[in-house]
Amino acid sequence: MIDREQVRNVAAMAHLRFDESQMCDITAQLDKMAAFAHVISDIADTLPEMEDDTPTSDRPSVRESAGADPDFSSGGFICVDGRTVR
Amino acid sequence: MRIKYLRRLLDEKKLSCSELARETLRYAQEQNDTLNAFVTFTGSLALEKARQADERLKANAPLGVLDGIPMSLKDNICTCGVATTCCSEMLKGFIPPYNAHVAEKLKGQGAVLLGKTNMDEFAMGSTCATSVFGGAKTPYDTKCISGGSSGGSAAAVAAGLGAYSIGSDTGGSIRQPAAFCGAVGFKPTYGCVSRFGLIALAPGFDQIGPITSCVEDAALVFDAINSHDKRDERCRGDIIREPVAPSLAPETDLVIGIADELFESADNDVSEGVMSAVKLLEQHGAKVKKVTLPYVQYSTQVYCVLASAQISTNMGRFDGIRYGERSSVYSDPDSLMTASRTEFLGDEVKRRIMMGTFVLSADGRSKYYRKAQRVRLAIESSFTTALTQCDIIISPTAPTTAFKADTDRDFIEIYKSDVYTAGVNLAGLPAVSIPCGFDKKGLPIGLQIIGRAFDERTILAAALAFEGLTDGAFISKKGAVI
Repeated sequence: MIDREQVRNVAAMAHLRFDESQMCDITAQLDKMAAFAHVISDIADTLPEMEDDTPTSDRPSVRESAGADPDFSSGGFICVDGRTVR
Repeated sequence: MRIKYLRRLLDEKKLSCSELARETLRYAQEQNDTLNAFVTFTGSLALEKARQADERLKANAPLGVLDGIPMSLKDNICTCGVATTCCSEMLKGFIPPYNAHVAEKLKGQGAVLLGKTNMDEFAMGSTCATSVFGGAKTPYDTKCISGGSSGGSAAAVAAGLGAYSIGSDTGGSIRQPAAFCGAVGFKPTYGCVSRFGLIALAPGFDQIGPITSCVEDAALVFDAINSHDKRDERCRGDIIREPVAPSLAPETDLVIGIADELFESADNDVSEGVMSAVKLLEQHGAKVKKVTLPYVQYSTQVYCVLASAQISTNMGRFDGIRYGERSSVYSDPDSLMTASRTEFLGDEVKRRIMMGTFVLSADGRSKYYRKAQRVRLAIESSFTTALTQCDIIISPTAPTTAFKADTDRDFIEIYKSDVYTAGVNLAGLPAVSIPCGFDKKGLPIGLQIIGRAFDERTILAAALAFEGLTDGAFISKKGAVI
């Protein structure tokens, strides 16, 4: 179950703003999407663990160098101390 | 509107390129009121390109097969000097200063660009209805959606508004609208065609391909755009690229794999239409073999998580600073980005960005993202194993035919229309959708042929065989002008 506080945090990270009624809708929609995707959780547990399934562009060493390339596929996000900044 | 037929008319000087361009443009503009297939027309540019092709013809210069042939590009493919909006408020008025690789390749071969075609906003959707310009409609019933996201391209080709169109396919965005409109939609193997200049949706799955009215045309256009390009680092430079079209011949001496997982939840008309096609191929020498594709029935869920994750990072650049419209209501850079994104992105785009940001968050990452990656690998492995037992896999392209535009469908239900196509993108394989019949309402049914990586020839040869055996009976004859 995704709660409104989680959605508020996600919206802040995504640089999106929702008013109260929109927040209610987007929370319900995200919850529905998460429930829809949840079936893969049980399936994945029956599959062997992967060594490193982090996409190359998401690995810290790559993320830290992202600022040098404005066309980097992450959109120029740089990870600093666990926070995503530009 | 078949390319080879037009080529003959032009070469035999029964028709000039200018006449062809003028008449197709006039017809396209007239039909666009009901189909909404185009969002930008490039009339004067098209007529100038046609005039240049006529001059080459007059000078008896050797002309390529696509020279002087009218076509269109999806509105997420950058065109130098021509608006490229991704059908979003965010990019309204954006005029790229350069051509995408595919646009440049086709321009170099004398293509006559009629305009840019409608699509779901930033290619996020399966209906074309999330376009800021309103959705495109299938020429078979203009009350029904065209499918998406390359809906405008499919509607344009099926209605004879140009001989071919170039679309992009991330989870089925070429094949599904082609199925809904009665056109041929071809997604090459991931890594074949350069995406340089394609405004990306999910770069790990995006692939560019043609929508045409027949299989032979799909091969011709594929050959024209299939080349290595260093500017797309995923465009493979280590494969041998041989033209497919010159030696393409119908092939029925094949083992066809049929997987129950790729028929689950399909409408009866759709299943029956596809199985009739399989029987016809079997009667002409194909062998049919049952195969299993474990985990493939979860493709939509896996795609939903992984594509959303890529979308959330990829869309970060549309912030009113680096790219996109800028809001006038802000107090600092942070509020500028938030205000611009909130004001100019549509609901579906925001939903996917939110989902992607959530699945990449500390909580969502272990619960969803890492698990989806594991299932994706299992899906890829399923296809690889199945394709060792057969040459091609045949399935419906979508579980239904085109549905009414005003149908109040839940967004999850709409995501499920990619259930047979998304797995192909997760595995990076080539696939083609061809029309194989009509449902009880007279709407076209799409049949999908999936092949091994970089074996485009086999799936096109099988598709050509079916088209020949049915004497092209299911090729769209809606509104052909020539």
